[in-house]
Amino acid sequence: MTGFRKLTVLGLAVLAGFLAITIDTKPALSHGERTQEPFFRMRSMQWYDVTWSKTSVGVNEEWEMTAKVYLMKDWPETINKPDLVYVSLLAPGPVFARTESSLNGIPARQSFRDLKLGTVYDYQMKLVGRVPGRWHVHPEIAVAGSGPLVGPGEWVEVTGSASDFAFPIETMTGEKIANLETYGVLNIGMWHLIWLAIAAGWLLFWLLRPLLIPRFLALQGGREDLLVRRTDVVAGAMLVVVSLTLIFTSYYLGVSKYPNRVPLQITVNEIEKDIEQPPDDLDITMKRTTYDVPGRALRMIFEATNTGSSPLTLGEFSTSSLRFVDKKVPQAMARVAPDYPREWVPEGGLQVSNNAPLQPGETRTYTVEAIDVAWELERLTSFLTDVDARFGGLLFFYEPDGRRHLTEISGPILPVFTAGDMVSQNETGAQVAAVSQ
Amino acid sequence: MFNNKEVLEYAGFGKMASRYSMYWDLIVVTAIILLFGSVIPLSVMLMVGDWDFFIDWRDRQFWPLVFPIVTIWYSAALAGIFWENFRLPIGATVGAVLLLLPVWLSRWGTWHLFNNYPMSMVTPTQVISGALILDGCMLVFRHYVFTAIVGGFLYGFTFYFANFGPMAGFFQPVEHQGAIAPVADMVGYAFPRSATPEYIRIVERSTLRTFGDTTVFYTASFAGYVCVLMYLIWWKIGNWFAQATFFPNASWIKSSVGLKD
Repeated sequence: MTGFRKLTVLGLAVLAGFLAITIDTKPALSHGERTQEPFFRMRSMQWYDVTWSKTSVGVNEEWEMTAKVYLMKDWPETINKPDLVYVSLLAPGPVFARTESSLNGIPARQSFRDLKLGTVYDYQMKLVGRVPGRWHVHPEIAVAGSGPLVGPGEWVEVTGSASDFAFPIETMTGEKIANLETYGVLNIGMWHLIWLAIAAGWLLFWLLRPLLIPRFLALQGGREDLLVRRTDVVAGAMLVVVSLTLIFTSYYLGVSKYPNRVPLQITVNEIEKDIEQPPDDLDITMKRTTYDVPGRALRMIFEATNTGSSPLTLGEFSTSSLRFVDKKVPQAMARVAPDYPREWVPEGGLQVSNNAPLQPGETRTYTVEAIDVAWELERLTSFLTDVDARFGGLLFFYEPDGRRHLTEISGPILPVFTAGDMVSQNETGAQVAAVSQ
Repeated sequence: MFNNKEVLEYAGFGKMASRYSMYWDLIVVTAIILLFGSVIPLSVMLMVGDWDFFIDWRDRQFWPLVFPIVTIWYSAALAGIFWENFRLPIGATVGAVLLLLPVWLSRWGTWHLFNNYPMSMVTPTQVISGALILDGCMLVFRHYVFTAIVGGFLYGFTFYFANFGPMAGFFQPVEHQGAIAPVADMVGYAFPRSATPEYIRIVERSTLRTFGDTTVFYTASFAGYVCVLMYLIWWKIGNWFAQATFFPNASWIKSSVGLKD
């Protein structure tokens, strides 16, 4: 095969490869929320009571996302504590525009410092539709040194035309900005064009002459006088003067048009007052937790004492946004909104060994199972190879009138790899439960 | 206007040789555009990063310091190569243009069209104004040390003033949820970047605060001084890398264009 043919074949192969990987591409819809290690997601922030006011909005139409977020006391050592955080959202780029946000009612345009572990915070964010499409949106709080910690996601559809989007604001000096999205671009672009035009003129001034080889030869021959003449030096001096004049003219025009300016703001806010915390009349002692690998089941054995004055029934175990709900507990089922995304409420629910109400003062050992393929789908099983093989989550107990108690639970977790281990583990759990009762 | 004929005659180029010389020029110009049009924006993206990407990172301390210090590397290297070998005072301008044009293309295409960032958030920054001063100084002084002292300083010092004027409107005050914010901060807030939390901004932080409200003049001056040094270093680096030593087929290239080895 001749060299030309080889090159042709190679070129066609490269072209075919390029077409193969580009023709049938689809937009990426996920945001990597399942890539964080399980101990990270299960023991940092627990999101609950998440709401999306609408799942279909028009361009410019406002909607709201609210949530409660509990910061685990058993926060992993491998990531930074929430000493500096930012309230945000997780979406595929700025497909929504944010109009307002707050944490415990305090405006969240800027970051917060020193959030407390073992505390519930109130998250709120108002958004408007911007880019038409169907987008997966999560509430998010980013922690400095740790990264974004996200809650459950919901699909929100934006309808209409992107060209109709506008984000108008008014400055404190009274200037009305019609659309923040396009503000200032024309002015900056115009100045860039001016500079590009001058640069093009300067380059042409030199490129229209013999360029490389003749100039190189002339220079080697000592004829620099042919290459840089007096008129060229004058042109260079003029270029310096014109450039300096234009720089300071553009600066003067800008600052004189906008005499009232403020620098970028770097305030860090503080949460001065906690919201009312949910009751926690329970004293929990963790006994043993296993993850049954072939059965895709998390089994917990813990001892609970009711330290309050009302009987309490275990209704839900929530971790990493997954809600394992005991379907036999009506108070718990009432907390699952009909339109809540089903992907976050595993069908298997929560199986509790003896879920009769725990009476005031009573101590009982619970054996609880959360069985579902969601453990795998959400990639929460890699704790088997994690550096920190502990799990965590929230237990929700309910009073008969539906009042909810929130209790943190965490501890070491053991993998169970074989059916024999599973039986053994079940027997162990049953024995502990029997002794307690 | 130009003395093209004289130069070609001195080089001993006839009509045919001149034509092929022009073709060679075109090949080199195309190669420079493709190579430096990729390398310079990529390097600036890595070295300057968010200070250049986002309007709400363009503060009075780090943006006017980091941007000119990084960009003068390539301008100085190219200026060195073009001046030392061809007496062409265009290297800095070439570098600046090959930064601005690809960056506009990238911001409009990749950032705006593909990823929905508003152009108001990601408009580029230009250094053409400083590069023109550098090339002008090169022509006037005809020596890279003097060019570094005068042109290099002006390149760093004028960067802020050349770019701030057109974007001054972004620093008008706005009231939002009971607090003050410049329009630039509002752009950053209104169009959320999930993986770029507000606290990672390195803006307006340093003891320059003790100089009151004149921070920018100190930053600009410091940028100017560092640019003098950078220009000297990168001039040498550019010329060192441009030696034919680095081309194993240097003899073949030379002979193919009629030069003796």
